[in-house]
Amino acid sequence: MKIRYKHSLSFEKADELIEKYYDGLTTVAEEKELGSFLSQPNLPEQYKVERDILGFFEEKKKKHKPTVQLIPFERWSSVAAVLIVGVFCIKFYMTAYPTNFAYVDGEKITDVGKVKQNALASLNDLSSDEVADGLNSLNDSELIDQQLSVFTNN
Amino acid sequence: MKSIKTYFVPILILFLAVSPSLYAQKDLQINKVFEQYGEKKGVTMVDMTNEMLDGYDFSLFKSITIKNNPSAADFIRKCLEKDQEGARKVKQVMANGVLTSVYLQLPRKGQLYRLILFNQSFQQENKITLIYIESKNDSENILKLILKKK
Repeated sequence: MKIRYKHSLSFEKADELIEKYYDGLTTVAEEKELGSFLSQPNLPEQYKVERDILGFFEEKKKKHKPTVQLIPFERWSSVAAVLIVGVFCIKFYMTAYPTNFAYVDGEKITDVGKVKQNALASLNDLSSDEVADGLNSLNDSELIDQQLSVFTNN
Repeated sequence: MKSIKTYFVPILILFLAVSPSLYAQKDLQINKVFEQYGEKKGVTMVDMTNEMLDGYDFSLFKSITIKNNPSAADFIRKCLEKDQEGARKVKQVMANGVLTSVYLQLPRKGQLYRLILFNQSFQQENKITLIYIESKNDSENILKLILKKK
């Protein structure tokens, strides 16, 4: 059985379009029409050159076409959701389960009451007499006045 | 494989974003003091997160008290020298040219005010106290609390 291809354009019409193409007078629609005609199989040898030229240009056009890959909104929204949930989980964990402990002579204590006691004790150490006296003197305006009075009396 | 890549970057960003607030003290030299001496004999170390103490809300409270260990005192002083860079020195007491007490207000990290308090006492025994505080309350108020206790 022999399969016969029906060409979209008649050879006369195709010749006419090719001539127009070389003159640069073809429209986009006509070029498309010509392109589909030349891309058909079993075309006579006389169209080989035109087929090669148009084929080359088509390929070149495809190669230089910029490709912009858009990331789907669904993916980004799911990532954002994971991020938000993650932040909230960590924040919640940190506030809901405080880690309180103390080491006294290398022994770990986890009893919150005792831990707080030790914390307060360390704060008391800090506000011992000698430190407080030193600090108070720094704010003592009377002392400054006394020292300045030495100069004013003269 | 593609999904791992898709989720790895956001998770990494998440941890990088959250971690500074969780471990703001990690960049400080005094952190080495807690690590080095915290579990030793003659030492009391306290670590509290998100606790109320004496009516004040602390995001982080770390303290260490070391008795009769002059080398530890020298080590702390060296750490403080580095940590006080960029910090506001609120109070400082020197005795015979040696730092015996200092209150440092560190630059804020996010919403957190940060304080370092150090004191060395020679009254009954050689006792060193080092405290690191992170709080959303103004550090001036925390200092007032400490001074009021006297």
